[in-house]
Amino acid sequence: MQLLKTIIVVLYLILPGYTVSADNSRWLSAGTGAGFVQTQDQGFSPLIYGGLQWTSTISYHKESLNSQTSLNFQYLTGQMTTSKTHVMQSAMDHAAMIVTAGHTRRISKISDDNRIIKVGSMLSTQYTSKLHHKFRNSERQNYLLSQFSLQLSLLQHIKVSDRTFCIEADVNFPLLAYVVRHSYSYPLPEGWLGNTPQRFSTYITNGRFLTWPDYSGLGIYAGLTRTIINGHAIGLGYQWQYNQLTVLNPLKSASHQLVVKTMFSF
Amino acid sequence: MKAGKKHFFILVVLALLGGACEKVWMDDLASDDPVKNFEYLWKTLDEKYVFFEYKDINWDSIYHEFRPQVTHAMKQEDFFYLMDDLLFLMKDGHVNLYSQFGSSRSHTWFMESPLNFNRTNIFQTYLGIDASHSGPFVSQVIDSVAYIYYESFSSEIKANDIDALIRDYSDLNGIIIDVRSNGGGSSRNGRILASRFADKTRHVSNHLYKRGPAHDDFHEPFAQYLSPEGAQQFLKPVVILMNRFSYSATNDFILKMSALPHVTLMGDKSGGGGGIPVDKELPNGWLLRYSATMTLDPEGFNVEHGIQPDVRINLRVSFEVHGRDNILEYAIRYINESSP
Repeated sequence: MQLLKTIIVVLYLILPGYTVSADNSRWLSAGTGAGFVQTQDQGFSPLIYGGLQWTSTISYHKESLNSQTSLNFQYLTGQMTTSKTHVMQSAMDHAAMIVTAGHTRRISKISDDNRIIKVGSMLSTQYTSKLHHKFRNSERQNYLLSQFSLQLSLLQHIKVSDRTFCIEADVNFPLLAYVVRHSYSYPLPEGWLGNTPQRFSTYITNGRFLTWPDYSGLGIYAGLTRTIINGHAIGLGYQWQYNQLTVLNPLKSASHQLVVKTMFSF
Repeated sequence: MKAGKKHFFILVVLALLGGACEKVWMDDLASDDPVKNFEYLWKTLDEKYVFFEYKDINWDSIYHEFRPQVTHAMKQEDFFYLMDDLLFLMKDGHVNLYSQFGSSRSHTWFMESPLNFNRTNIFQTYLGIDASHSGPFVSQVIDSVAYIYYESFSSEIKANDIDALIRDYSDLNGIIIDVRSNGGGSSRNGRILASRFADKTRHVSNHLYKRGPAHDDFHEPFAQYLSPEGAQQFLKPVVILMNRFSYSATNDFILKMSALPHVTLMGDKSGGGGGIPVDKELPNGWLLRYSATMTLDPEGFNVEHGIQPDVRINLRVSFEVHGRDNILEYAIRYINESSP
């Protein structure tokens, strides 16, 4: 396990270091959007909860023809309900923070029609908090999911009527995840928070490295960016993400997001 | 341009396919079928409920008794009342089923016990019209002893509320905290209240968590400690008044206080309810609640069935009919006589 940790940390530190190019450009972007999310958390329910969620995102990109490095912070919040209308806790609020760092490098020649294919890796850490209604003892369940993914990226620059567009399509294949989630038994007595020794966490949570089939997932992003003026662009992106844990109280989650963003180079 | 469109189109198709696949991956277990719901309920409790061995419940035998009575075609309401009967056998106030037809709860632990508490008499005779109100507490000074009535551990205790009481009553001979018929709430409130009476950090309880599906598969006991908190501690004699309705978080508060040397438990045995309850939904959307932990005192005694008082005393009818409470009056005398 120590070896795995070491490999992840080393890869994470080394990969961005390959970014050596004279034609670097740096971009800052901010975006907002909406989407649909579904969760089946068998820690507390066999039912699928679904609902709308809102997202805000801030990103930093450093890119060249040869590589791209990105750092992204995303905040999502929403409310989910279930089709079982008489269920006693028929709605839950949820919120998630996702920090993503990725690096890709070009693996193909730049084609005549400006198509670039890049391959790299991505480290994404998501902290999710779910607040269930009605009954205090199942109110809040949090989990942390950190995943290391292989990323395949396709960039295509096109011109339509003298307007410059960039189409980007990414596919992420998670290879390894570190999950902190409530373990077999998960009641959290509120009265213990004030003077609880740290080791109590081992009773209610469980942190583990997981890989397929205990953990699996898939992420797809398709985006269209248009340069308005030199150094300023706007973008529209669609993101689909699926995560599945089959251990630590099984959890499945899928989300669809549509995000608009504005980008500035500096 | 064409190639770009093609790749973009492929990705969009992939995303849509993914969206379609998630329907398959996230198999919806929702069902109103009574048989499926019975199996889910039985298995959930079989793997997660903690008191099978302590209460000597033969869960397999219960399965064989009830399973034949559950049919695919039975009405939801009939199924609910059948499950109500099943859960009643657990004799656990923390085992409940909530549905559109109502909720189930066992009250067996206090049905044969005296109430030992008359709220009207307390307010009219002892608290009176000039009682002090501080947060959820109603209090009065009676014969140099502070009487504090706390109705429910669901009512939030703020540090300022209890600190003000401790400050105001610090010169008195002692404090009586009345938690009779206090059915519980949040154990956080219990910790805040108890911490104002703690002289030092003390081991007050052990908690057992399950770590696997077997009925006896528990982690090693987790020790819980009580430490002094707040601006000031009250270390003179303290009496806790309790009855069989002092349940759940109230039982936990009594357990904490019982570890303190200057505290005397008085009245009847507490109601118990030492397990921390958690909720889980069934495939039909009903909510199942069950005890997911066990609480032991530092000597290893399981408090699920209640905590014995140091001084057992019942409410006498001859006092009650005249608006008096002999338990409270004894507690006042007890404190004054033990006061130096």
